[in-house]
Formats: sequence, structure tokens, C-alpha cells
Amino acid sequence: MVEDVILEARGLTKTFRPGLSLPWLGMGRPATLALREISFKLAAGQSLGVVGQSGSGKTTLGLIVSHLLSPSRGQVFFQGRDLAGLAGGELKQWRRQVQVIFQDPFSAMNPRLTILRNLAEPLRVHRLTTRAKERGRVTAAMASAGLKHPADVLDRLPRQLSGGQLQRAALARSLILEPRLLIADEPVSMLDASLRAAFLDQLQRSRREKDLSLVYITHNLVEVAAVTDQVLVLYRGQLMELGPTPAVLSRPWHPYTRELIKAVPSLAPLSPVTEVKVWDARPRDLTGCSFRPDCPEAGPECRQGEPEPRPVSPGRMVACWRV
Amino acid sequence: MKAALAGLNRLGRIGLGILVLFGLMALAGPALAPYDPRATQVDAQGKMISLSPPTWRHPLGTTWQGRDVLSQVLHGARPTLVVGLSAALILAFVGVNVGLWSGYFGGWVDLVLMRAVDILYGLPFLPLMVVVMSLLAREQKYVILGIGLVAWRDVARVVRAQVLSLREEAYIKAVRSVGAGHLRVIYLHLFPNLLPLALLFLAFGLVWSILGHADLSFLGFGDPAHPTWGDMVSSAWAAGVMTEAYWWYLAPSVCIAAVSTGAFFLACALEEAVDPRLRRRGPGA
Amino acid sequence: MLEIRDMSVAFDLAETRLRAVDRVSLTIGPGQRLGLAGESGCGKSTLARAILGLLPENARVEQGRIVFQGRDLLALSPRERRALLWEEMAYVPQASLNSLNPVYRVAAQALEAVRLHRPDAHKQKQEYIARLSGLLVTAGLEERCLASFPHQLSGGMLQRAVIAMAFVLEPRLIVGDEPTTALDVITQGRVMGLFKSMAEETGAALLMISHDLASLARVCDSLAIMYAGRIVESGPWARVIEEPWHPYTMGLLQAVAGLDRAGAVLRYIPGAPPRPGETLAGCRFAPRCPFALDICLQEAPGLRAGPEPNRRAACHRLAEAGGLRRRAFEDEVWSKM
Repeated sequence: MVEDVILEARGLTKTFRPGLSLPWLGMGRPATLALREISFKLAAGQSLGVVGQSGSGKTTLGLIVSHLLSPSRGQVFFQGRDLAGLAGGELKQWRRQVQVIFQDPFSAMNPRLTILRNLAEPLRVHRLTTRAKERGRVTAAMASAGLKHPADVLDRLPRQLSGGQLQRAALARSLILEPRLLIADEPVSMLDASLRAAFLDQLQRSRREKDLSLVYITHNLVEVAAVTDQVLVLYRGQLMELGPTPAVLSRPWHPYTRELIKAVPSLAPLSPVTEVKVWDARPRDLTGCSFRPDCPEAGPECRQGEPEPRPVSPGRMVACWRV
Repeated sequence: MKAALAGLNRLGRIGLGILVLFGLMALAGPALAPYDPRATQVDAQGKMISLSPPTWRHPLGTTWQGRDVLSQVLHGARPTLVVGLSAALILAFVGVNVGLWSGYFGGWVDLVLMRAVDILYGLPFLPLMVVVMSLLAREQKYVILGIGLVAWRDVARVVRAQVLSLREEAYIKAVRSVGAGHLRVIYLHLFPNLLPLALLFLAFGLVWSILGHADLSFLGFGDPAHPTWGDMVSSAWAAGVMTEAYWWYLAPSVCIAAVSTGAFFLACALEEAVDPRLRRRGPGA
Repeated sequence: MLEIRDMSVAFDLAETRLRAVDRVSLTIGPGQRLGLAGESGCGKSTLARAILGLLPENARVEQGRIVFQGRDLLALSPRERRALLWEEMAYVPQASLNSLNPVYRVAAQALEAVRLHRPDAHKQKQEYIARLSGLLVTAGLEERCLASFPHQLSGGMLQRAVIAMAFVLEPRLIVGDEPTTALDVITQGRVMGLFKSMAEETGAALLMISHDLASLARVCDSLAIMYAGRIVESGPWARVIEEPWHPYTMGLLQAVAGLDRAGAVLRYIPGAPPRPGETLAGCRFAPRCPFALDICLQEAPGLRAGPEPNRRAACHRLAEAGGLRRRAFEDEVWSKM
């Protein structure tokens, strides 16, 4: 079975250098590794969850695949084309096919422009409509993003809307160019629990309607379980585990994935509080696997270096010495 | 206009009022002046009225060479405001653009532009102006260019810092991800959010330019074709009559202080409108 | 230990007055860990701030009483109330990053708070430092965090440092207002566990506020649900979770997802709570309630005791709770609304 691959990442690596660095003048501080050798494939119409804690590099990965940041090494292919080769008009055409939704609904819209003007911006950038028809297209996009009474909202400024409304407007803006791929970076983490469900429900509806592929970035496995087909687990820039979501969640191979599953909140009161060890302090001993300092199952073999992701069963990769 | 006025506090309205008053003086002053500011006034006997204290005929007295002080003051408003406004426009324009480009593009653009700013910070303003005026010519346009092309450094720095934080806002990233070009992002999305800041620097630029221009004139490097209040104080000083003929320099000094204070009040009011933290706490959200 | 009786809090706005908390009664016993849950805008933060005496200038307690360890808090002067903070009751806000001054080290800021309340603190400075380090270790932080500046710590570490600081003077009540909302899931769980273990160790009572029921599960032994300025249900945690009496609680619970029921992450109660200032004759939840009758729209139900001890709910159909509950966990009941 040949699947139609819409997005492929090969060996994505990103290092950040703080400030301006002029190595030949002896200036510049050591670089920090944000991502290391991340590879994955996403089939058209499918969704990929990227899950990790803050500082895991998941947002960086999102920016790279949306071509807002270039990788230090590695390539991103969209429908078989290398993004690095895109420029000018081609890049602009590509942008129509890939849209991004960011975490903070309150900074998602230009505060000085009305909602109508904000949502019409993609249309104007690509000269897709006349001023007269703009309003109609924006209204239609808002309806398809589940915003009720679009007419009431169109002429308001972003600060007059609630977080839930703003995030739906951001969804509407990302749908207005009829993209093939949506990249959502923690779209609900700043919303009330009750609004999260409504937004995700709408996201799933819109995806089904438009046959949209999705990269969904989050720290919450429950969201991953609800909206994604594949999941990629990141820890400090390293790929820990990759595979079909139901399989990974029901039979996690990596100890870190197991920790994430344990962390999912549930209503049952947690009986005895798990014993507290030193959390996320900078590890002093950096040899071996980067998860080793926090790993409950680490053994002596884990000191032999960073484990490379290797296939364990069809479609599943794990980076752990003990598997 | 009404809305803009309502946004200003009382201090700002007073400042604006002072500036409007001096604006009218700059427009109508030459027509209102009772005498030619350069003509030597003579009495009935044909004798020069030198250093006369205020009288009915000369309400602000006369100078060493028998010229009418009131007429000179009325004529002095125009060059002061022309230089002040033009220099402020230049410095705000250059500063905002340099700040926008430097902050938005980063990297080498930022490096080059910010080193230029650093160099400007290292240059002492008055000696630099004196050199410029001596090399070129003592003309108004060079005064304007000189002030405008030096003082943008502060504007550029502040605008750049603001752009660096705005650039990380989701809506700027969203516009970029839609495919908008750099110029569209800079001038359609970043700039409107900096407009209040640009207005603020226009007002502060007015203060700097008026005071810088007055300094320059006092040192004798103004444009002789457009005598200003600074030139009047300078002549009184040069004539060595500061102790006896107070009327010669009092009115021009008060005018310089008043117009720069007006601009300063306006700037402070704008600053408060720009930075909500300076605002006294209003009703909570 | 803490008793709130019939309290209302209102905000004075330019033209109107908005009642954010409407005739709320609540008690917290010594060592009790009460969770207060509700959607944003339901008045839960305002309630907490009223207890702490930290209401904004344009808000005031219109009626009712707050009695804390036998003292009527509303009769105290602002100065006396400030003296209670840290010493008797402590506050952990949502964004600790903003509650610490970036230019001072963590230890200096903690000691500053101690100094304000214990004028003799400088004599026993070493003692307090030792106590703080002990608390930090309990919080899973290394002692060297004391000598760090806030920006050198991650969000989760800061939040834990602030929690540790809240326990320094051994207050009897700790109020946490969405203390884990800004953190990722793993850190969230650990921070909540920390609240619980520290409260158990010192015997302090907890009032934890959140919009997310599941995040409270790790800490709380009792639960109060707030809707549009009123408490609609309260009782022991396990009982309320297992057999909710109020349809709003049922609605919240059917939308709580776990990995075993991930689909629930897509479920929600349709509609929105009434806007502040909107007056409704009947029950405020009635417009969104799938079980509302005519009486629900006409008459507001009071908070009543039911057949179980220590439990209350404000619902006209309290007697039929069992039947409603079975229907509340069917999907169509909510999507039909």
C-alpha cells in the first residue's frame, strides 16, 4: 500500500546560539541543542501528535515544519518538495497550503485591526477576492469554524472577544485559504476546560469536512488520544518514541511515555503521594541517554551514549537502550 | 481630532495649547510686528534709541543697535518652529524606520544599524554641529538636517526593543505564515502598533530640536538670515550688557522656555497614553 | 475554622454594579482540603480574594460574614488583615513568575516576607534559612535554588518555590488560585501532590481553585462547584464525583476525559454561562440544563441538604438526581441542547 505522504521530516536538528555569535572573533556563547535528528512521515489526511513538556523542543519543531524557522540541519518535504528550495512566488503559493494556529488566543489577532480585517488579511496577501466580496468569504469561514453570529463579531476589535471566540477566529483565519495541512501549537492550553472540548470538537469537524492533515503539538496525552493518528514523543529535543497513537498509548515502550501516561489527570484521588525526588534540576552528569537523570528505570547500559531511535515493530520507533 | 484630544490629560492639553499659540505667532508674527526687526529706531532728533527700557513706543525695549525687541521676538517664532518641527519629523522618521528594520530582520542588518547608533552616541552633539555648520554653511536646512540626523538614535533603540517583542506575538507569526512579504509585515502590521510610540518621539524630538537649535544659535552658529530667540540672547551676551539690559534677553528666554515646556508637556501626556503603567489607576477591568 | 456566611461581593463599574459572588456560604474545617471548581467568570477568584482581603479597589463585600478562627474578618482594619496574610493564611497565585521580583534572589524575597511578620527574624536568620531550605527540599528543589534569581528557574520550579515560601510561617489556610494552570501536565500533577503532602505535614487547610476538575483530584478531600456567582453543589470529594446531584456537576463530569475515555475530551456543556449582570428569575443554569422544568425558569433553587450528610445542592429536581445522572452520561442528552 503506497500512502500519499504530505509531510516528511528528515534528520531535523536545531541549535540556538544566544545573542550574536562571531566565532572567529572569539565571541558567542555555547549553543543549545533544541532538536536532534528528528524524522517522521505524515500521510495525507492523517494527524500527528507531538507531545512533550515545556522545553522539549516541540514548539521549535512546529516552527520549522511551518517554515517560520530554518533548521540547522535536516530537511522538510511537503508533498515531496524540499522546503529549503522554495523562494519568492513558489514560497508564497506553498504558504497557502500550510497554516498555523498558535497557543495564545489573546495575541493571535492584530489588536489594532477588526476581526474582519484580521481574517481578510490572508485573502488580501494572495489577492484572492475583491473588497466587496471579502465580507462574505470571511463570514463563511467563520461559520465553518463554528463561530456563532459572525456578523456580531466581524467589526469588533480583538480585545472585545473572549479567549474561546478568538481561538475560533484564529481557526477561521487558518481555514480561509483552504490549506492542506494545519499546524496547531497547544491551541487549547490557555482555554478553560469547558471551552477546550468545544474547540477540539470543531477542529475535528473542520478536518473531516476539508480532508485536512494536522500536526498537533501539546503536553497533554488526552488531547493526543482524541485527535491524532500518530504520536511523536519528545524529551529535551530527542525523539523518544514514535508510532500509531492507540498502540503507543496502550503499549508504551519508552519509560518516558509511561511517565507521561501516569501524569494524565483523572478524577480518582491519587492515593499516597508518589515520593518526591529532585525534579528538572540541570543534570550534572550528562553522559548517556538524556532522559537517564529522570528515568525511573535507568540502568548501567544507559550510560553508553544517546540511544538512536530504532524500529521495534511495524511503524514504531523507540530510542531506549533497555527495549 | 476630538477623540485624540479626549485621550490627552490636562497637562497634554495645556502643552498643546501653548504650541498652538506659538504656531499662530509663527504664522502671524511678522505681520503683527510694529517695526522691521532689523531697522535701527531713531527718536525725533534722529538719534538712535539704543538700549531703551520698555516704553509705550517700544513695549519690550530696544537693543544695542536700537532695534525693537518685540518685533524681533515676533519674527523669531517662525524659524524656531520650522526647525523644531522639521528636525523632529526627520528624527522620528529615520529612527522609527531604522528601529523597524533592525528589530525585524535582526542578524547583519541589526548589527550594522545598531553599531551606527553606537557611533552616534559617541559623538558630542554641539561640537559636531559646530563643525558641520562651519564646513557647510550657516543655513537653516543644515541645522535641521544636523539635528534630525543625530538625534534619531534614541528613537531607533526604543523602537527596535519594541519590535523585538512584537515580532514574537502570534499575530505577526500568523501573518508571516500566511505568506505576507516583509514590507507588508513591517509597514502594515508592525508599524501601526508603533504609531503611539512614533507620536511620542515626535513630541520629544520637538523638545530636543528646539533646545538644540537654541544652544546652537546662542553659540553664534545659527542661520543669520533667520534670526531666532537664541540669536537674541547671544547678541545680548556678546554686547556685554546682561546686567543692565535685562529686557533684551528676558522675552526671548521666556519664549524658548515656554515653547519647549509646551512640547514637553505634550510629550509627557503622550507617553502616559502609550505606557498604561504610567496612567493613574482607572476603573478595573 | 473558616466560615463564610451568606456573602456577596460586588464590583462598582462606571455605570453599573455587578455582583460577582452571590450569597455564598462555605465552611472549611482544620486540615480540610476543599476544591472550588467552575468556569472562568463564575466568581471563584473573587471569592478567594474576598477571603484573603485582596479585593481590587472597586470591589466590596456587600453582605455576609467571614469568620476565621473565631474572628470576624470583615470587622478588622486593612492593616490587621494584612498582618494575617502569610502568618495565618497564604496565597499562591497562578503566575508565580510575576509574583517574584526579578532583581532579587529567591532567598532574599522569602526572608523579606518573614521579616515583615516576625520583627525579630534577623536574630534567627539562620534558622529561617534552614527552614526554607528544608521546605524547598520537600518541594523537590535543590537548596541552591535559594541563591538563584527567578529567571534562572523554570516555571514549574518557580511555582514550587512559591508554594514552599507560602508554608514558611506555618499558616493555617493556604489559598491556591489556579496554581498549576500555566504548567505542563507532568509538572501539574507533581505540584498538586506537593500541595497535598505539605498540607498534611503542617496540618494546614487548603482552598484550591481551578477550572479543571481533574487537576483537583490529586489534592482535595471535598469539592464545591460554583456557577455564575453561586455554589450549586458541595460535599465530600468521592461522593460528589461518584454520584453528583446537580446537573451542572454531571455535565462537568461527563466531559472529564481520561486515556480510557479520550473521546470525552470532545464533550462539553453547550451554551455559555449568563453574562455578569444578566438577571435571571430562575435557576441560573436552567438555560443550559437538559433537565430544566418550568419551575427551574421561574424560581431560583436554594442550596439544600439532601439524604446524605455534609452534602448540599441547589436543584429543584434533587429528589430525582439518580435518574438524571443515568441520562447525563448519555451523549445525546448534551448534544441535543
